[in-house]
Amino acid sequence: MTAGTRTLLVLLVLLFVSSSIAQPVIGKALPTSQQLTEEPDGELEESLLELATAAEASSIGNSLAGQQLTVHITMSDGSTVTRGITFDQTGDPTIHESGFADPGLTAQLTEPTLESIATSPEPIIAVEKAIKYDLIALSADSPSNQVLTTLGTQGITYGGQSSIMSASIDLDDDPHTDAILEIEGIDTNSDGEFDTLVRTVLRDTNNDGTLETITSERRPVATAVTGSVELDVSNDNVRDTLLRLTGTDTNTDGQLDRKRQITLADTHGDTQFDSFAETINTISSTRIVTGTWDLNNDGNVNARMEIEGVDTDDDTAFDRRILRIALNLDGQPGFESTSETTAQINPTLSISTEFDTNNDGTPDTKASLEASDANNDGGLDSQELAVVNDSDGDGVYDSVVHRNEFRRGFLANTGDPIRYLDDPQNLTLIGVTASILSMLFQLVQGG
Amino acid sequence: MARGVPALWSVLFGLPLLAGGVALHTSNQYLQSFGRPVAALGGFVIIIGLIVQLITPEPPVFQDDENIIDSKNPNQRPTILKATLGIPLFLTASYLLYFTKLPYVYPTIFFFTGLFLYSSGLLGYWRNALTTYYLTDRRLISVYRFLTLNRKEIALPNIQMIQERKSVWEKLVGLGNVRVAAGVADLEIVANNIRDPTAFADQIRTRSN
Repeated sequence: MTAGTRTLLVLLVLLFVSSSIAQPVIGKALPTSQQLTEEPDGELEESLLELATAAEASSIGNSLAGQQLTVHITMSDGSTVTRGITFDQTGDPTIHESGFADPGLTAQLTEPTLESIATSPEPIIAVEKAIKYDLIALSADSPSNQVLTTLGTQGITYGGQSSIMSASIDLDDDPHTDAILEIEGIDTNSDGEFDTLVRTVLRDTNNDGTLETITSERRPVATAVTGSVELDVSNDNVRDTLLRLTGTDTNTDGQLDRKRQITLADTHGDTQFDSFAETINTISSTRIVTGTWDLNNDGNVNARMEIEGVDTDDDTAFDRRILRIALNLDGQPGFESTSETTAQINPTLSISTEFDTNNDGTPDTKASLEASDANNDGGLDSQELAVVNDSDGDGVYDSVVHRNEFRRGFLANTGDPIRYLDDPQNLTLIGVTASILSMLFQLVQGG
Repeated sequence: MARGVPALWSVLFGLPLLAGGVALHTSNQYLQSFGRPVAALGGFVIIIGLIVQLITPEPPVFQDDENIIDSKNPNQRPTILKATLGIPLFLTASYLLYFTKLPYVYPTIFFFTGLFLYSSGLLGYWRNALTTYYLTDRRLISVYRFLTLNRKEIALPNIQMIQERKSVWEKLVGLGNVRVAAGVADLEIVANNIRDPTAFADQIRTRSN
C-alpha cells in the first residue's frame, strides 16, 4: 500500500468517524455545576437527568448500562445534596432521591467559587465549561476503561491574575493518573476579568508514571463589548433615542456570540425616556468541534480533525465551514500532514424594506437588496437592488420603479464607458443591433 | 419568386423571437427592456424573409450558340441546421442570465455564440435562395440578386484553379463547395452548399481544358 493510498484511507476513516462521533459528543456536554446549584429545587431532577444523559453519551466504548452512579452536589448555600442514578440495560437513566450504600461510580460536583462568580461569573463558567468539553473529547479518544476520577478546581486565586482549573483522568484504571487537563484563566490587564485562557493537556504516554505535556494552547477571551449611540429620530435637533448594543462571548472562544440591543426612546418629547425595547440575539460567530484519534492504538494521538463553523454576516447562522485535518503517520512528534478545506453554507444575503409613500397606512413600495456568492469563494460577488411599487393600491406590487444588477466577473469596475456593458439588457441590444446590421450589409453586398 | 420557401422558414425562426420579445416587453417584470431588441430581431427576420420570397432572380442572357451544361442551386440543409442550433444556445443564455447568479461572462458567451449561429445560418439561407450557378460550354456564371444584382462569370479558358472543399456544416449534411479562380483580378466564384461537388468540379475541368 502506497503512502498516498494510506493517507486517503485515513482521511476517509476520519471523515466517517467524525460524522458519527464528534458532533454528538460536543452536543451533549455536561451541564455546569453552576447551572445545577443555581436552579430551583424543582428543576434539580431535570438537571440531573441531563447530567445522566450526558454521562452516558460521553462514555463511548464503556457504556454505563446496568451501572449506578452516586452524585454529590454542593449547593450555593453550602449544603450538600446526594442523588443516585441507575442506568438500565439500554442506558436510560433513572434518578433516585438518595445515593447508594454501595456507591459504585461517584461524581463530585462542587462549586467552591460562588463568591467569586458574583464578581466575575462568565470566565469561571467558561473555564469550567472548557474543562468539561475537553474531558469529553479526551474520553472519546481513549481506547477503553477510561474513568473520570476527579473534576474540580485547584489552586484558584481571585483578584489576582491567574486561576487554574484542572481534571485528572485514569485511562486504564490503574493507580496512576494518566492524563491531566488544565485550563488557566489569566487576567492580564487586572480588570478583574479573565482575558486569556491557557489550555494544557498532560499525558503519561508510556505509562511510566511521568506526565508529559502534549499540547498547550493560549487564546484570548472576549468577554463583553458595549457601545451606545444617541439619535435624533424625529429630526427636531433634540436627541430622542438611545441605542445600546452589548456583545458577549459566552463560550469564551474569543468571538462575540450574543448580541443584546436596548432601545430607549422619548416618545413624548419631554426629554425623558418613556419607551424601552430589548432584543437579545445569539450570534453563532464561530464554533469549533475537535476530535482526536489514536489510529494505530499505540497510546499517542496521531490524527486530529477540527470543524469550524463561521458566521461571516452575523445573521446567527453559519455560512462558512472549515475542515482541518492533521495526521502523524511517521511516529515522530508533530503532525507532518495537514489539510484545510473551506466550503460555503447559505451563500446568499437578502434584505428588503417596505415604505408607505402615500401615507395611507398601507405599504406601497418595496426596496430589496440581494447579495450572493455566485462562485462560492466566500465573498459576495453579485448584488441586485430592486424597487417595486403597487401602483393601483390592490396590495400587489405591479410595477418596477428601479432595478440595478451587478455581478462581478465580466467587465466590472473598469471605467464608466465600459461599465455600460455590465447591464445584460445593454449587451442584448448591442449584440442584436450588430447582428442585424451585419446581415443587412452582407445581403446587400451579395455573394 | 425566390427558390424554396424563405418566407415560411423566416416566419418559423422569427415568430418565436417576435412573440417572446413582445411578451417580455409588455410584462410587468424586470425583462421589459430586454424584450425590445429580441422582438426587433424577430421582426427583422420575418420582414427580410418576405422580401426574399418576393424577389425573382433573373437568369443571365446566353448567346445563341451557347449551351447550358449544368446549373446548381445551393442546398439549404447546412444553413437551416446552423440557425436551428442557435435556438438552444439562446435558451441556455436566458436561463443563465435570469435564473442563476453566475457572472455575466457565461450567459454572454452562450448568447453571442447562439446569435452568431442563428444570424449566419439565416443569412446563408437567404443568400442561397437568391443564388444560382450556371455552367455553359463557354463560361461559369454565378448570379445573386437581392436589392442589387451581383453577377460573376469566368470564361472557361481563363480558369487557373479549381478547389473542392467541405466545411464542417457541409460535411454534416453531405454537401461541399467548389472554388473556381481566374488568373486575373482575383476573380473567383465559390459554389457553396452544392450536392456532388466532385462531379461539378470534373465538369468544369473537362470543359476548361
